Amino acid sequence: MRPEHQAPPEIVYNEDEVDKYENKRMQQIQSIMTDRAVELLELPDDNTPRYILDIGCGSGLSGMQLTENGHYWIGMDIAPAMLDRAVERGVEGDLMLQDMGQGVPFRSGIFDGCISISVLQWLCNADKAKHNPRTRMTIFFQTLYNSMSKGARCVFQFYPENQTQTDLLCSAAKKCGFDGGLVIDFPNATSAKKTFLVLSAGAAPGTSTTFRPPKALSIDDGKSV
Amino acid sequence: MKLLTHNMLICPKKACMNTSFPMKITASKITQEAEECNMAFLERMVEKIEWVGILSAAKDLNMAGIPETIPENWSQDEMFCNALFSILMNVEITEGSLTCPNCAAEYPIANGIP
Ligand SMILES: [Zn+2]
Repeated sequence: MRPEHQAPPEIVYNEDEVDKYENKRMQQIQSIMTDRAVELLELPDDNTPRYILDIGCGSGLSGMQLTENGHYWIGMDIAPAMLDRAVERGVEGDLMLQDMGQGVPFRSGIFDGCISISVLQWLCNADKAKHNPRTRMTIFFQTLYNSMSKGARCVFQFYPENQTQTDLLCSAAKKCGFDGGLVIDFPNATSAKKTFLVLSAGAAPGTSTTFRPPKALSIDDGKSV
Repeated sequence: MKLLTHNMLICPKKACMNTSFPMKITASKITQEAEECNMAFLERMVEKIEWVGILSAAKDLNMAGIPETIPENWSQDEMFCNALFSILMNVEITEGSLTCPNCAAEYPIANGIP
C-alpha cells in the first residue's frame, strides 16, 4: 500500500517508520536520488556554496548529501519524529516543522535551488476535511516560486500515482510562474525508473529562452541505480 | 534555528506575507556553535540578508556592538566577517518562540526547530 494512502505524513512517519526508513538500502537509494536531484539543479561549477531549500527533508539524509556537496540548506518537513531524528544526527542544515501545503514561509528571492525527495505526491492527498489538493498545490508553488531567486531550479523526485496527478502538479506549477517539465530516468526499467519534476523560477539572468529540462538518464549512459 | 534562517523567515499566513518581517524572537535557550567562517558563502548571503533583521534579532537577544548598517568594504575586515558569520550561523536558538509582528501569532521553537 502506498504510504500516502494510509494516513497523513506526520502519522505515517512516526518513530517506528523512521527506524524502517533508516535501513541501509533506503539510505543508499535516498543518497543516489539526492545526488541526481542536485545534478539536475545544474548549479554553476564555481566552488561557491549555494543556499538550498530541502522540502520534506525527513531525517536529514538528503541534507547530509547537500552538505557533502558543499552547500548550505534549510529543510522543512511535516513529521516531528523525522526532524527529531535529523537533530540527533547532528545535520548541518536548519530544520523547520512546516506543512508544504500551507506554503513556504520565506522572503522572496533567497534560495539558489530547491530539492525534494519522494514527497511531492503527498500534495495530491486530502488528509483533513479542510484540505483541498488544488488549493494546497497553488499555495505551495506560489510561495515556493516567490522564495526562489530568479532562474533558480527546483527538482522534485516523486512517485506519481497516475498521469492525472502528474498533469495536475505540472499545471499548478506552471500557473504559478514556473517553467519546466518531467525528467524520467531509466523509463523502461521498473525498479530503476525515477521521475523528477524539474522547474525553473523564471529565466536565469542573461538568458531569454524558455527553460527545457535536462536530458534523462537511460541504460545506455552506463549509469545504474 | 540559526539567525540566518530567522533573517529569511516570514509568517506563513497569506495576509502577513509582506508585513511579517522580522519575526520577534523570544529565546529561553541558546547554544553556540563553532563553525569557521566560509567567506564564499558569506559574500553570497550578504546580498540576501536584511540588515534590519539582524538588528532586530540582536535587540531580541541582547547582543551588543552590531553596527546600524553594514560597513562599506566589510569584506576586507576579517574580524567583522568572522563576527558576522558567527552571528548568522553559530548562534542557535534551541528553545523559544517567534512572534509575527503583523498578526501576533506565536510559533514555538522546540529542539531548535521552529
Ligand atoms: Zn502573521
